[in-house]
Amino acid sequence: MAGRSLYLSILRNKPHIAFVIFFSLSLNILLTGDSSPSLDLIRGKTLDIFSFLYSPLTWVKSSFLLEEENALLREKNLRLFLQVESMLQLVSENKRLEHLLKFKRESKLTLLASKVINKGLHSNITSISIDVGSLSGVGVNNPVLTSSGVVGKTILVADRSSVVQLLSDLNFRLSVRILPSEATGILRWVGRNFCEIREVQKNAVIEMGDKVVTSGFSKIYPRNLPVGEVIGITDERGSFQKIISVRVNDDLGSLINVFVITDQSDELD
Amino acid sequence: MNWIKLIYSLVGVFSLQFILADFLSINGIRPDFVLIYILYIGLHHGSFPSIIFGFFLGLLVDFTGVGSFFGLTSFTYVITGYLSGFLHGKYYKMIPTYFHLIWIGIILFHFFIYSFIRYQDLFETTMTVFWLKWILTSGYTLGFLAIFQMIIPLQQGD
Repeated sequence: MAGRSLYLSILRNKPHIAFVIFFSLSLNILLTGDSSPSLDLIRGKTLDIFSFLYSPLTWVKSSFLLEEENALLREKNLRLFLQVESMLQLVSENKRLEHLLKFKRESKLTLLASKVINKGLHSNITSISIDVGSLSGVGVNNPVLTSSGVVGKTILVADRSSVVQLLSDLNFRLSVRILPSEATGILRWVGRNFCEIREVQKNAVIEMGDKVVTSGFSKIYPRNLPVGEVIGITDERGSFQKIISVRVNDDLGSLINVFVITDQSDELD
Repeated sequence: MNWIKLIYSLVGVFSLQFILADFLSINGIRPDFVLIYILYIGLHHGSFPSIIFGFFLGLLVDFTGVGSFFGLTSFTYVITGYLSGFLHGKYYKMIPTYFHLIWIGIILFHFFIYSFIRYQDLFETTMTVFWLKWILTSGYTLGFLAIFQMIIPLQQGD
């Protein structure tokens, strides 16, 4: 009799019991999911499957965008050609000066080209999946960039695909330097392709249009990778720091191709 | 309740999200068809199936690739599924305006939890951006829900 009433009570409260169970389960996954190696393994395997399923769509999408991208690249190519011409002269001058100072610095970065497979199914884009994984030499925490600058880092690596945490993710922070003042701070995303640097000393001389590059203080990002440019400076009353608004070079919502830095070695003599 | 039919529709909705989400993206904001589906399940069939579907669909969505807060989608879908179930069979028992206001409120609440966890930093530093993000994300999905509502009315299950 008691068993029957218990059974009836469970049946009557089925939605509430299900809610308590699944709410607790999902909360547990939310709290432990990002740091669970066993879950990472499952995520890696399913990511490979979804990347495979998504590949025809990526192909269709890139075919649509091919012509537009081609025109953009031709224009960019011309601009870069002109830039290279002037830089070649600077390089020879730089080499001459370095030779005079007996200074040698060489930075080697191994770049791996990859295609964006999908941008997840969430209502906001905070990560992307790319078509290279551990089989291509990608590891966790490899910097990801485009020809315009840093866009994120790899956070989950499967055999043939990886998840990239974008600048637009709340948990993403980037140590940056503002040129030419050399002021440093931590960059965080605020919306669309805008970011803020908050920990900048008030006495740093920063102008609109100043370039923002990686500081090289972090173990993940090498020095001087382009990030964006200064578009606003706010002095906070009663604070020793000022807020620098930065526009990042890329529209994070429309990434098609990215590069992963799989190996970085700095040689300083 | 026909579970087989529900599972077929689940596959359909997931495929729709899988194929269309990226094409319908505006400034990084996409419609959430899965959420609309969970709301429909809750309104037409009650809390129990919508909680279960919400949990598993949320996991599936997160498995497609998420940088951080793995499990957040499941978490918010389970809450939405549970709350939407309370409206099951209530359309003719309450003032229709209230009925519609409540499901709009559920969607807004869903996105509030989602945005609050995902953009908690913005909530503390630049609140205007946070509210804008919340309103735009909710508004985009609500816009699609308004269209679907004309094809399959939310109260049809009653």
